[in-house]
Amino acid sequence: MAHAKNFLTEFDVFDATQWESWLDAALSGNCRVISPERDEALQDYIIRVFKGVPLRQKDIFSQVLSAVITQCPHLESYAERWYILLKIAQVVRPPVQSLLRTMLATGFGNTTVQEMGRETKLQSNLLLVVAKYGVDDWLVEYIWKTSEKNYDDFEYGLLCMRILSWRLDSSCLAYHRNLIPLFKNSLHVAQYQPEFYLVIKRLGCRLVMNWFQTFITKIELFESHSFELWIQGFQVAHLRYKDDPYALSVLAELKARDGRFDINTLSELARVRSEREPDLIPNFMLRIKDTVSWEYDDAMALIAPQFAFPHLHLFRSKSFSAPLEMGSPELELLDRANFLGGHREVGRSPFIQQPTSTVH
Amino acid sequence: MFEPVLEVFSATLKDCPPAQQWLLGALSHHAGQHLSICLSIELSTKLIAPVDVSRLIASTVIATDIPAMFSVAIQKDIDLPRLLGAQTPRMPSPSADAYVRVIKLNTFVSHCLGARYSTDGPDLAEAQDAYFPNSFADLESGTGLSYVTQWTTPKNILWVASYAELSQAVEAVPNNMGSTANDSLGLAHVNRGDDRPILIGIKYPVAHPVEAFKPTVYLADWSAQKIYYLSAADDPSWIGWGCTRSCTGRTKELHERVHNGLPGLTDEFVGGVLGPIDDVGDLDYQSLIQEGLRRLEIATKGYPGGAR
Repeated sequence: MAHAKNFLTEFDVFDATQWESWLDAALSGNCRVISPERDEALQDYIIRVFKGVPLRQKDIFSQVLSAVITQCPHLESYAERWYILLKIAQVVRPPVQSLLRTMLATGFGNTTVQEMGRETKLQSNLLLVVAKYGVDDWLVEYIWKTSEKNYDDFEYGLLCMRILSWRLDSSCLAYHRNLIPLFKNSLHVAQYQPEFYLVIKRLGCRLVMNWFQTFITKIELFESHSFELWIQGFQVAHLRYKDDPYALSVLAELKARDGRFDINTLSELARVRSEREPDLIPNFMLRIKDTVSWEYDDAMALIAPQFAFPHLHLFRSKSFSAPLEMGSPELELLDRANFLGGHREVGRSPFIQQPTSTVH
Repeated sequence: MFEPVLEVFSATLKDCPPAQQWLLGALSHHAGQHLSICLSIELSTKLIAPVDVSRLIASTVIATDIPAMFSVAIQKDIDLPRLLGAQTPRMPSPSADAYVRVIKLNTFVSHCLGARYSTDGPDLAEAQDAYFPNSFADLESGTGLSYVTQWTTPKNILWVASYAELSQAVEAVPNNMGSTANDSLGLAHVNRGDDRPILIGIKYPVAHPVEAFKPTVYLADWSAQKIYYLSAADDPSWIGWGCTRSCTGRTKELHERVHNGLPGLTDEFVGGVLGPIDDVGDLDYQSLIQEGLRRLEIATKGYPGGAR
C-alpha cells in the first residue's frame, strides 16, 4: 500500500501547469514520476496514471488534455500523437466532443499511423472516441455512410456493429446487411462471435431471434460463402445462451436449415420452453415443418400435447413409420426432458409401441 | 559485502576505464547495487558480453540514478537489437510443458483487440466477459485465441513462464491466483484508484515451435521504481530459464523466458482469468540484494552439489 500512497501523494499536488508539463513530456516519451510497466504502450501508461489519481486530479487532467487536443495540429506529421491522444480521450472523455466530431466528419480518420509495427488508420479510434460521448442519429448515419463508401475492412465493420448496439435497438442487427458481405475467412468468424455474444447480451435473445426470423427469409441476398461464414459465428455466439428459449429456438432453426434438426435438438428446446411465451416452440415447429426431414414425426406428436400444440393435426396426418419403443434411447431422452408428462405409459400414447412380447 | 561484484568487474571489464568509477557510484545506493549484481552474474556466466557492458557504461551519465541512466543508454545503444536478444541463443520449447504469458487484461485489450475497445472500465468488463469467460483453473475449456492477429509488445519482447510451474503455484490459492502470479513472477502491478488490474494467463500449445531465450539485464526496465528482475546462473534442471525474484521474497519465484512477437495466435492458444491483485508492498532491497549475492556466488562457484 505504501507505494500506492506515494504515487498518489506525488500527483495529488499537481496543478494544471504541472499536469501540462508532465503530459507534454510523457507524450514525447519522457516518463516522469513513475515509469511505464513491462509491455505497456505509452497511451496505456498515461491512462494508468489518470486512473490512479483522485477525482479532483482527474478533473484537472481532463481540462489539460482538452487543451492539448485542441492545440494539436491536424497534420499527418502529428498522426502518432493523435493516435495516443485519441486512445487517452476514449477513457478520459475530455470536453472536446464537437472538435472530435468535426475531425470525423472532415475525414481526418484517413490519416495513417504505425501501431506496433503495423500501418493503420486513425479512423477506428476516432470513431470509438466520438461514440463514447453517445450514439445519436448523426453518428448512426455517419456509420452507415462510411461503411458503404470508404471502410470495407472487417474490423471496422465489427466496431460499427458494437457501437450501434449501444443504442439498445435493432440498428446493429440491421447493420448486418453491410457486415455480412465482409466475412471472408475463419478469422472473421473467430472475431465476430465474441462481439456478437455481447450484442445478444445487450439486446436480449428475443429481439435477436425476431430479427433473425425475418432476416432469414431474405437470405437469397446473401447466399454466399460470406453468408455461410457469418452463420457459423452467429451460431457459436448463441451457444453461450443455452438456457434461453429464444437462443435455443434460433439454434434449432439453424439446425433445421441445414438438415441437422434431431431429437437432441428437440430435447434441448423442451428443457428451456418459455413460460413468458408458451407458443414460442409450437410456433417454431410449425415454421420449420417444411424444412426438417420428418423422420421424427413420433417425437413431434409426443411433444404436441405437452405444449397444447394447436397444430397437432399437421403431424397426425403423417404416417408414424417408426414408433418409439419402450426403453429406446430416444424415449429416455424425451422422458428426461419431461416431454411425455402423463403420456409415457403404454397405451396412453398412440406413439409408444408395445414392448415385444416375451414368453412367460 | 560487494567484493564478488568488484572481482567480476575487474576481471571482465578491465579494458573499460570508466567501469570502476561507474561501479563505485552504483554501489552507493540500493538500486545501483541491484543492477551491479545482475551485471556481475550475467558477465560471469557469459550471458552478456563485456564489450556491450563497456559500451553502455561509457555512454552512461554518472548521476544519482545510475540504473535509470543505464536504461536510457540501452534504449539509445547503436546495437539495440543485439541487446534485445537478437543473437542470444534460442531454446526450444519444453517438450512436456507449455509456456504461459501472464499479462494484465487491459494490456491484452490494448494490444490484441484492435481499435474496437478502449481501456475504460465498461469496455474492460465486456472484454473479459466475451473473451475470457473462464478462470485460469478452467483454462482448457476456454475458447481459442485465433482472433489475435498480432502477438507482440511495444518492444517486441514477450515474457513467458512455465505453465506447469505457474499452475502448481496458483492452484493452492484458487481465490487469490492473480495476487500469487503477480508476486511470484515479480510483476509488481499495483491497485491505484480506478486502476484495478486483472491478470490473465495465456497458455501456449505444448511444444510450440516458438524459440525463446533466457532474459538478460538489458530486457529489464531499470528506470522503474520497483524492479524485481534478478539474474541467475542456469539451474541444472532449468537450463536457459531466468528467474525474477518474487515481490515479497517469500513466495516461490517462477522460471521465465522471453521470445519475440508472433504474427498471430491459433485456437490452440487458450486463456483464462487469474484474477485481481493485491498490492505487493514496498520493495525489500535488503532481501533482494542478499538473494542477488547468493546467486552471484552460485554463478561464480557453481551450484552446490550440482543442483539447486
